[in-house]
Amino acid sequence: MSENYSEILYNVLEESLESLAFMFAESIDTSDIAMTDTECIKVTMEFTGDLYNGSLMMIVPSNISSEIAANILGIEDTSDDATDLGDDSLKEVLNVICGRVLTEISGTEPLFDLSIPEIEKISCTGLENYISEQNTCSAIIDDMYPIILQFKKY
Amino acid sequence: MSLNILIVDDSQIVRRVIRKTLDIAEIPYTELYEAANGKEALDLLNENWVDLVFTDINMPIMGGIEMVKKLSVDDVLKDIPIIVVSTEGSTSRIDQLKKDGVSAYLRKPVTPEQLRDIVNDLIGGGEDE
Repeated sequence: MSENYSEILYNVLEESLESLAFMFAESIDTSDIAMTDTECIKVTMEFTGDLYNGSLMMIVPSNISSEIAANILGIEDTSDDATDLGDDSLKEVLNVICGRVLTEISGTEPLFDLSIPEIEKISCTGLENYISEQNTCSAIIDDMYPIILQFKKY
Repeated sequence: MSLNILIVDDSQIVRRVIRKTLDIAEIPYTELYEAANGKEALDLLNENWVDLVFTDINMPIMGGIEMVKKLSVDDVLKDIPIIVVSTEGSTSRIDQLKKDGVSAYLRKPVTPEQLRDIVNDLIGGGEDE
């Protein structure tokens, strides 16, 4: 029987964004998601472990990155620092989410090696291809920014 | 007592967050060094006296586990307290890190209270030397 981790993904996303960046996520139906920006950012990381290997992917509109950096650091989102550290902040958010998702799914006994997150700028069109896959959650952050999170086991 | 502290993480924003958390926790430091990987950290430790190291595990070039193992066999550096700050939650990983010489483990995101308690446990707090 195949498992579906969408609820775990959403719970970890909500908790991680709140504790790390003081931002609030609200779950939405994946069919309702609409990107507000033309350019999106895809962040991915892979993991290898005792039980299984896999990957975690996050897609957000690019205009959220400086706001996440600003919230993490407690600075203005228009500052140069927030702009410069935007990509870095998205990688860190996914890193925290990945560690917590693996623990939620498999407990604290198994060992996983996590890769360093990689970032890629993509078009926001055609995201329905990601959304239709299993183990995906979608949410709206701070009533403004859509986010897609997808977990894969290999 | 004012400390010389080294923060090892490939993420600039994580280094900034740890720096900010140290400030909020009112942990006194004289020098705050930063390194982006284990190799940079070892180079820095060979040139500067450091009282306390915060390190991530997953970093390019040299990760935190390899760095900890190298420190543990260095006669001069082996007694420096090392605090791992990571997202990983595996108890077997944490147990192994402690066997390798890590003094404490904190799971991200770290609060100022957690940081202050750990540093006070390892270094002692509130007393001037």
